[in-house]
Amino acid sequence: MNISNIYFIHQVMTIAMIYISGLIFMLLTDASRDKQNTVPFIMKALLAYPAGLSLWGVIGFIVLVLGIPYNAGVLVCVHSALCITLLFNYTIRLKQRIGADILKKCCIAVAAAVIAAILCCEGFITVSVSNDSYYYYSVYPQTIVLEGGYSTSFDVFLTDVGQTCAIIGTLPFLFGFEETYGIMLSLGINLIFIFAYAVYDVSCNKWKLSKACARFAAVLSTIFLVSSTPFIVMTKWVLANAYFMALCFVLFYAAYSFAIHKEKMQLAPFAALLTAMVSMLRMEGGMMAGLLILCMCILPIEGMWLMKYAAIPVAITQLLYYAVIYLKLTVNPLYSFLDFKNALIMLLFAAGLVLYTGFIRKRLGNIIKNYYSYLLLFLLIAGNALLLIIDSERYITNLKYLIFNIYNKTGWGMFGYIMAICFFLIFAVKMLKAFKIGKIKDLKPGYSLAFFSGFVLFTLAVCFARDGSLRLGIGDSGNRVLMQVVPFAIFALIEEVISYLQPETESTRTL
Amino acid sequence: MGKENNLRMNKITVCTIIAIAIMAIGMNLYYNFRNLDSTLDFTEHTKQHIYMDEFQQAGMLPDAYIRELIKDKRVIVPYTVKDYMAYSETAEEDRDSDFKQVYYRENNYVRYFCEYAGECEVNEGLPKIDTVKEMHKEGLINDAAFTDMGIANDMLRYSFLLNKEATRESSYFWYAWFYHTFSSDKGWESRVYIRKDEVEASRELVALWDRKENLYLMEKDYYDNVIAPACIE
Repeated sequence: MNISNIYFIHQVMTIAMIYISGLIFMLLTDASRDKQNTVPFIMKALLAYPAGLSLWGVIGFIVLVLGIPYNAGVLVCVHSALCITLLFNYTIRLKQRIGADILKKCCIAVAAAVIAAILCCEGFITVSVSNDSYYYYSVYPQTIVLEGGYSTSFDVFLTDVGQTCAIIGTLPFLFGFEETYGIMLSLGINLIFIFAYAVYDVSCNKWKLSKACARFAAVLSTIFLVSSTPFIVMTKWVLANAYFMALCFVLFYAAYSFAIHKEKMQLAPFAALLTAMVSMLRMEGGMMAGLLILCMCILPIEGMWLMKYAAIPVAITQLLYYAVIYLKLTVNPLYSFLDFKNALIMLLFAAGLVLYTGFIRKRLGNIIKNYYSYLLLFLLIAGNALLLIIDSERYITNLKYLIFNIYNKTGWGMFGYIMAICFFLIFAVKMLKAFKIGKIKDLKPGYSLAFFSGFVLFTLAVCFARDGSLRLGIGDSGNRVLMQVVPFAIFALIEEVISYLQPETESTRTL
Repeated sequence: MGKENNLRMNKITVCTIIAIAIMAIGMNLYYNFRNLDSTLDFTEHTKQHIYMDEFQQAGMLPDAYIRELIKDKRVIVPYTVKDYMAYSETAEEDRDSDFKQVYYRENNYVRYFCEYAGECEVNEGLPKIDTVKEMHKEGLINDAAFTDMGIANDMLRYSFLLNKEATRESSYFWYAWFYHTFSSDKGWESRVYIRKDEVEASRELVALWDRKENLYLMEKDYYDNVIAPACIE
């Protein structure tokens, strides 16, 4: 057997194992005792791969920051110990059993995952490789494996590279293959199905569309997503952006779903795991996860729940990481994206998130609660205005290049134009309708629109924190961060369209 | 009547939205069909390696090829790693502003091979950087006997990952050097030359490099039979 075949088999098996570990995690952490009120298996099966990847990323991250030797033996032992603990908890403490029907469904789901993995690893779905793909997500992970942990000499790699993404990059060097293209493409395909399911679920259960209409909306919007140039570019370009876009969308949808179906709140460990993973996927991941948590506050999710399963995981990962790189390893690159000052700002932000979600939110008056999404967007705009005052030249240059990149279609294709026209049309008709019937407060941005708008404003602020200005070109990191917005933009647009067509009810307006 | 009108309006609105959506999808598909390949370089990855055939023509990521090549091989290098202080008496020509360029020049490839090769052996009797330069000038090392795999500057830029001694200086030097040389002086490109077919079949390799850090990677037999005799002469 030649080396290519061995690598192919190893990668497919690794994807299958990630999927199986994710599926076990999703099954065993669903603690519902009432069989009628459990999370649908299809949802667990769809979210199993993101769960497995997050499990790998977060466990690897904890092993690295705690200074435990980073090798296949240790990592497999930790995963096995976690599975046994979950199984013990599920069967002994919660007195639950996995029935034969669930096992049958699991076999079908795993078979589907293996088929997808074979397609993705086969190599006929093209990918794009750049310098950062190789040095950040292959050489650096290989060196982590060879060294068995973090080292001060990793220097700027520790301050500029998304650590949980680099940990996914260590898989080939632990399990005998060379590249992670199949792993990344599998997540891209998984995202397409999750997106379709999310549109269907929200259309059906929040906006009360008929099942046929919801299916039609899901199919049409998914085709639009898959045909969008920035989505294709992001899912095929071997960088952390592919993982960030997919896992951030999964987190975004999971929170939405928790708010719609209260029984899904049982998947709290999944939410905590995913939040921790997303916050370390890119250097600005903690900030983006924080923004998402602030947007989750729009949803009717209890503050304590948000604090425990969203804000605290972000705070812990950031605190652990900064403590290790700045206090233990005393990394001090001569220039980098993350410096000590930015780390302190991030920690303050994380502490603020914990306080806000856990203690302040429930004490807010009704007026603030009712207009929270306006307030959030106002604060983001005010923050951007402040940055403009601090260094107007840099801010305007960044803004100019972000707009030019969309205008020149560098990686964006027609997407920017289509979205601009569609959002303009939908807002215009919605405003006309609202003025006509005198319900201006119905224009209040919901969860999806608030996160989409916040994402764009936050990208500008995050780019400002980087040394130097952005530049024209597809590879500019600010441009790539903004391209991650595609699934959120389409989701927000779909919701705006459906909400325009729907007669407004109290139940829908509360989300 | 009003209800019927509303229903008709709703149907018209839905049809309009569907038409817009289909138009948008069509525009995306048309754009992708015409322009996607020029947006970014996409490649098939049927060989399960990071290094793809197209990279050789583009002179891209030669170290992605070397890394896979050397992982089970023994590489013989001409230097042992010396620490930064050993270069305290550095001549002006071996400096780049405050940095002792010769320190990086001599040690980086050694660090690289010792980290990523299956086995690494130091033979201080091998030609050093100045000798290699002279041999190349006199045609004793013939570029035509090697395959030009592309530029090594990026590989060197990231060699600080392996430098546990002068981390900050190392990373800063390589970044500054890379951008400085790339923006102002193309003559500073370091190239990677490999006897591709021969080294793939060989178990023992010899790595030599010159002052510009042009790397020559060859099988040991070629070194013993061609380079070493020429070196003695």
